[in-house]
Amino acid sequence: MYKAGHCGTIKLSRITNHTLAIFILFFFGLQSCNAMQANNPEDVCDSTDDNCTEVGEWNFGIALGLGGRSNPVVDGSNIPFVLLPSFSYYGKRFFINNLDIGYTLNEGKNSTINLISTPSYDRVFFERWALNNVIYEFTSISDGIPVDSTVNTDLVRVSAATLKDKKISWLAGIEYSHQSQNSQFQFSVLTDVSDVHNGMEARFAWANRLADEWSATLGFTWKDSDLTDYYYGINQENTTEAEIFYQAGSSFNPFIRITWLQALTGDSNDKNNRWRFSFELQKLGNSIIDSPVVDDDIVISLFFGKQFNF
Amino acid sequence: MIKQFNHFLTITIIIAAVLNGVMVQGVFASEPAATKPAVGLYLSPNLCLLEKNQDQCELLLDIRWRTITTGDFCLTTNQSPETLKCWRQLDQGKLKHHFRFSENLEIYLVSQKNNTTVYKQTVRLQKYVTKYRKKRRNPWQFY
Repeated sequence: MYKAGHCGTIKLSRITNHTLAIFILFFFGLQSCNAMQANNPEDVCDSTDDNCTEVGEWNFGIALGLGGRSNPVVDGSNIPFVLLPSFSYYGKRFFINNLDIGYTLNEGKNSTINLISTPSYDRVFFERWALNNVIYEFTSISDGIPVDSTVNTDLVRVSAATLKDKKISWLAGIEYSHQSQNSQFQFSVLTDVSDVHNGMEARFAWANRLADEWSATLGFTWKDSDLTDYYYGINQENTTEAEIFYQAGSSFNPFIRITWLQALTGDSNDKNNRWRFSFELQKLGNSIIDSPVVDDDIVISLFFGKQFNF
Repeated sequence: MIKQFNHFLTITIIIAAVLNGVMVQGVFASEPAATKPAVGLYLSPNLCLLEKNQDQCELLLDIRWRTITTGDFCLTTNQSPETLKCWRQLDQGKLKHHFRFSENLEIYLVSQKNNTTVYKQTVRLQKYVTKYRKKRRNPWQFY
C-alpha cells in the first residue's frame, strides 16, 4: 500500500480540521465585520457601475469559443470548452452564481463576506472516463512511499467502473473577498456538507490587472486528506488488489492564470458581450500526482471565445 | 371509545368556536362601511404602487366625505381645474371615479359658499425603484 508523502504523512483528525475551519471562519468574519462600514449590499452600488447588477433579476449568458481542460487522470478525456452557459440571480442578500449558491452576510465598499455552497470540481476528471479498464505503470509513480517494498512493476489493471463511483460532493463555508481598483483577492474555507467524504477545501485567488485588458491571477486550492483521498485514493472499495491501494494525504495545488478581456465598448446594445481569452496552469499537489490514477502533474485550461449576455 | 368520542367532541367545539369567531369578526369588519363615515374626506385606495417600467397609475378611486354642517360642496383635484362633482345642501357624499396620474393625486373638498378647501387628501404614487448590488467576482474559478 502506498501512502502519500509530503502533506499527507500526518493526517489531521476530522475534528481537528473542523475546529480549525471554524476558528479561521470566525477570525475572518470578525476582522471583516470590523473593517467594513456598510453591511447592506444595496448601499454600495448604482446602475452605472459595471460591477453591479439589478436585484431580483435573472441573468443568462453563454460563451462560445474553443478551449478545454486537460485531464490528469489516467486515460481521462480532456474536457472541452465550447459552450459555456452561465446564469445568475441576485436577491437582496441571496444569490445564485452558476453552480454556487450564496448569502451575503456583509458587504462594504471593498470587502464582502458570503456564505456559499459550491461543488467540489475534482469529480469532473472522473466524469468523462471512457474506458472500462485503466492501465498504469507503478514505475511511473513519483514520490510515493511504498509501504510494501515487494510490489511488482508490471502493468496492473484497475476497474474504471468502480472508480467512476466517485460522487460529486457539495461544499459549504465562508468566502471573503477584498477588491480594490486593480486587484482582488478571495479566500474561502469550505467543508463537505453532502456527507460524501467529510473533507475540507480552502481556495485562494489573487487577481491583478496588468494592463487595460490583461490580468494575472495567482491562487491555490488546498484539499485536506479526506477530500484528496476520496477522489485520488484507491482502497478496497475500488479494487481487490491490495498491493495497489493508495492513501492520499492533503494536497496543495497552486495555479497561475492569464486573462485577456475585451474592454467594454460603451454601447448599451451589446449588453456587455465581449471577447475573452484565458490560460491557466495548475500544478497538482504531490499526493495527487503520486496517485496511481493520475499520470500528469499539471492541469492546463484554455479558452478563447465570446461571452453573450441575454 | 369514550375517550375518542371526547376528543372528537373537543375538536368539534374548538372548530365551531373558531368559525364563530371568524364570522363575528367578519360582521364587525363590514359594519363601519354601513354606518356614516366620520367627519372628513376619505380615499380608497390612498396609495398606488407602480410596476417596473410603468410611469402612470390607473385606478378607480372611491371617495367619501362628510361635514359637520350641510352646505354646497364640490370635489376637485390638482390635475384639472374642473370639478369632479358637486353636492347641494348635503353633509355627506360619495363618488367613484377613474383616474390616471403620474404624480401624487390630491383631492379637495371645496365649500362653494366661500370657495375654501374644507378637506384635502392625497393618493401617494410610489414609483418602482430599481435596486442594484455588487456582482460576485470569483477569481478562483477559471471561467
